[in-house]
Formats: sequence, structure tokens, C-alpha cells
Amino acid sequence: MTGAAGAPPARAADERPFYFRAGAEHIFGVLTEPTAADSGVGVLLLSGGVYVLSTNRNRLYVRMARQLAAQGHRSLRIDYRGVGESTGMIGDYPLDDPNVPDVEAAIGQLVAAGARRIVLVGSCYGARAAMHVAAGHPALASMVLLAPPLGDRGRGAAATPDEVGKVFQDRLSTLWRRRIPTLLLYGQEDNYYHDFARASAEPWLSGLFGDGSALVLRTLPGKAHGLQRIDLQDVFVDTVLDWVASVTGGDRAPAV
Amino acid sequence: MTGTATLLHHDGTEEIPRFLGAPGAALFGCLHRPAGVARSLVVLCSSIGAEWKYNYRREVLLARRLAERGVAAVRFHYLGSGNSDDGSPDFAALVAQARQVEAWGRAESGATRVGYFGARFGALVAAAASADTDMPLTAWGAPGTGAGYFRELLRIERVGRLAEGSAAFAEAEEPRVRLARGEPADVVGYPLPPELYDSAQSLVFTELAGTAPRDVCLVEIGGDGSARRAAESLTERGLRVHASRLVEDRSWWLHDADWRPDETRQTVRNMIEETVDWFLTVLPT
Repeated sequence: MTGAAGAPPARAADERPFYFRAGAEHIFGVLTEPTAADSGVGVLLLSGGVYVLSTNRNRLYVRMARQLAAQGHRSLRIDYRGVGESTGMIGDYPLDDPNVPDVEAAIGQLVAAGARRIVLVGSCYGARAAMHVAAGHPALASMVLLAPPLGDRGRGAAATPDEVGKVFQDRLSTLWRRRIPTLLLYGQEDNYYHDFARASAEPWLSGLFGDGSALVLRTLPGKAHGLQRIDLQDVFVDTVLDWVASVTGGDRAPAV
Repeated sequence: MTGTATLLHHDGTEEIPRFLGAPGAALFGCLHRPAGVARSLVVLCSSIGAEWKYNYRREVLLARRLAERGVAAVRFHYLGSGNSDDGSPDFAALVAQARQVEAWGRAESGATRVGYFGARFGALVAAAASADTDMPLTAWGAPGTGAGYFRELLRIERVGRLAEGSAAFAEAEEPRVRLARGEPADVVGYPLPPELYDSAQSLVFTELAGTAPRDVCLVEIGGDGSARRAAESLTERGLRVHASRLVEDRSWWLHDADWRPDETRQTVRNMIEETVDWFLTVLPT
């Protein structure tokens, strides 16, 4: 596969593993440099909880990062504190306070590396971390959120609309108000999607996805949460690449 | 970018992540260097797929602890996994990658004596990479055979499909059918390349580990008696064997429901300390 200008995907030689500070901890990240003309876009890739590494399942973030490079985008994938190569100890993955210092510092690293516009891609807990930290960020250009839990407590279940978290509501409303192009992806069999479908009856939520909104909801067949099938991972990677190309003004060459 | 390429801990130990080898076939490796002179090096060989992720933090903690106590350690990602370049290596290629990383670790650390560590499938890699030498070997949850390991893996795949309860998963093609066609199988979201599956069928852990007299530490995960049987076999071959057991009833492939950090699991901390203590008895510091 090549990028818009025929650039090849990045390889390890185009990447730099490094550590950066977030409070008292050293966060491990891998920065992937563009192999096409630099777009000025930096993409932060955030994995889910339960010790999921910066690579995400079956290194789909490695594949994504190396293909984003062919579109001219640099990207950064990180191990949260206490995960993988980073120092410290991870907590209970709190959805109302999701590793804020780590994500803030990671955005700072992308900016320091030359990014002028920021895109965040997050899965599950990583989606909540992306929304939480960056919804109001001045350099935010877009987000892709895979299976974000709606609740703010525990694993984020929201069995009734009343259980949809205030933090989730606030961040989603912020993205809508700022007209940030945001793609929400759920698997049709995800429990979180069932929560979302129930909550969609509420005016505050349905109103965010109406005509003229920059928020887009799409569903994928089966279960997307956890990315436990390779074919679904491939769909996720392709969807992100197409979305990022569309919102950053680039285009994406077909697979060769 | 304002970060650093090397992590320097307060105690003087360092972590040095690098890409090793030719562009397009580069391995991700990380050297843990002790504060003082390192006379010994331990090469850590991970398992594959979801087990790689499951045991990852434990291997980081083990490597950090070895470095704290004066032994260099090196970890790596096989080609086609983690941060390394693409590839579908067979078993011999995994072994060659372990030896490549060993050479890098020796050169960077200055260590002259080497030991190997392997977890689950990585125990087969570690045993093969150190075969015909007197290098000390530690194995966590070593499978008896490659064929048995993959039988278990494919059984777990079936359990995983049932547990997910998804119609799409239930309709997915059986992994054995794809492997028979020479295509990678999807095992709970991780590819199993036919090259690896086929090349590992004839592997026997005790035959790989027992080719020469040496010290071996076997840690059994769970209670299937595999470490005791392997210990008996290796002792008969003239090896010096230490065997112990970690009581853990979770699958390394399907474990999310009761997850908590390894740093808070006393059994894991004990396993790491026991492993480090053992290496310190058989390697010079």
C-alpha cells in the first residue's frame, strides 16, 4: 500500500522509540515520521485499558501509524504510566480521570515534533482519554473514537440513559459545539453501542448528531470493542485512514 | 520532541530501546543495563499473540529487577509483532532473532556470560537459542511440545468465540482450515502464521533444553504437573534443575475480567524475585 503521493508506508527505520516526562513518570512512546511531504498533522494513538500496549491489539496501531506516515502525518503511540515500557503503576483506568497527564504530555510531544494540527484516535478507554483531554484543545483537528463507554464509573456501562456520565456528556457536547469532525465507531453487538442506542432517545444526544453536525456515528458489524478479530481490525485501520485523509484535506491512494 | 532515547533510573540502571538490524527487517529491542559493570546478560524470549501482551509487564519488571541487582537483560519483539518490522517468521527464524538480540546485548553491555529466559512459547525459543551450551535457562510455563501448545491455543480460540457470543465470530472460518490452506489463522485477534505453526509441531521442550549439562529453572503456571515431568526428564539427562509452581488459574489468552496490575499481585512479585534469585546463583555478577 502507498500513500497519496506514492509514498511507501513507514518502517521501523522511520520511527523513534523514546521516553518523555509526565509528572513524576517516564512515558514510553514511539514517534513515526512521515514518509510523504509533511502535512503538519500529528496523530495521537491511544489504546484501551487492561494493560493494552501502545501497539494496541495485534499491533494495529503500528500498522496504522506506518500507513498514516504515507499520508504525510506523523504519529505517536504511547504506553500509559504503569503499562508496557513506561514507569509507574496504572490505576483502575478511571473513565472520569483517564491518564490526563500522560495524554497532555503526549500531545505536547507531537507539537514539539512539528505538528500544527492534532488528530486523536482512541479505542475504548483510549477514546475516553482522547475526549477527556483534547475536546477543548486549540490545536484539535479531529477525533476517531472506537467504542467509547458512556458511563463515567467502573467499566463505563450505562444501562439506562440516566447512567450516561456527566463527563462523557460534557466532552461530546464540547466537540459538537466546536464543530470538531468526530467519528464515533461502535460494533453493532457492542454493549456500549446498546447503551448508546438507548441513550439516543434523549434529546441532548440525538441533537448532537443532526443535520449540520460535525459528529458522525457509524457502526461496524459484530463486536468492535476489544478488536478481537483481525478482519475487524483491518476495517478499523482502513476507516481511520480514510477519515483522517478526508478531514485533513489529503487523499488516500487505493491499496496496491 | 523533548524526550530522551534512554531511560535513566535513580539507581543508575538504564533502559535503552532501539531498532536492531537492517531497514525493513528491524527488531525492536530494549537493553536494561545495570549501574556498574555487567558481567552477565539474560536474554528474555516472550511468548506470542495474547500471551505476549499478558506477560509483557512481568518481563519488563523482571528485566528491571535483574538490572537493579547487577545483571543486564535484553527484551525484544519478534518480526511481525510489537514494534518490529513486518514478517512471518518460522520457528528457526525466531531462534535466530533471539541470537541476534543476544549479540547486541553482549556488545552493548559488555557481559561475557549469558543466560536465557522464556515464557510459554518463548520457552521453546529460549531453549533452542541456548541449546548445546551451558547457558542457564529459566522457563515460565514451558509447553511440553509445540504441537501441544498449538492444540491448546486453538482450543482457547474456540472458547473465546463462545465467550464472545458474537454471530460473526461463530461464523468465522475454523483456524485449522485456514492453516491447512497455508493461510494465517485468526486466534483471538492475533495471526498464527502457517510457517510458525508447521515448524513448531515437532518441538519437544526437554529435547531442546537438555542437549548439554546446564542449570535450568522451571516455573509451572497452574497445576498440570508439566514442570515436574520436565524436571524429571532433564535430571535424567544430567541437568541441574530447580522447579517451582505459580498457582494461577487464569488463561493467558482470556483474562480481562479480573485484571489488576502485576505490581499488586504478590504471586507475580514472588515469581520475579525467585527467578532473579536463581539467576544470581548461576550467573556471575
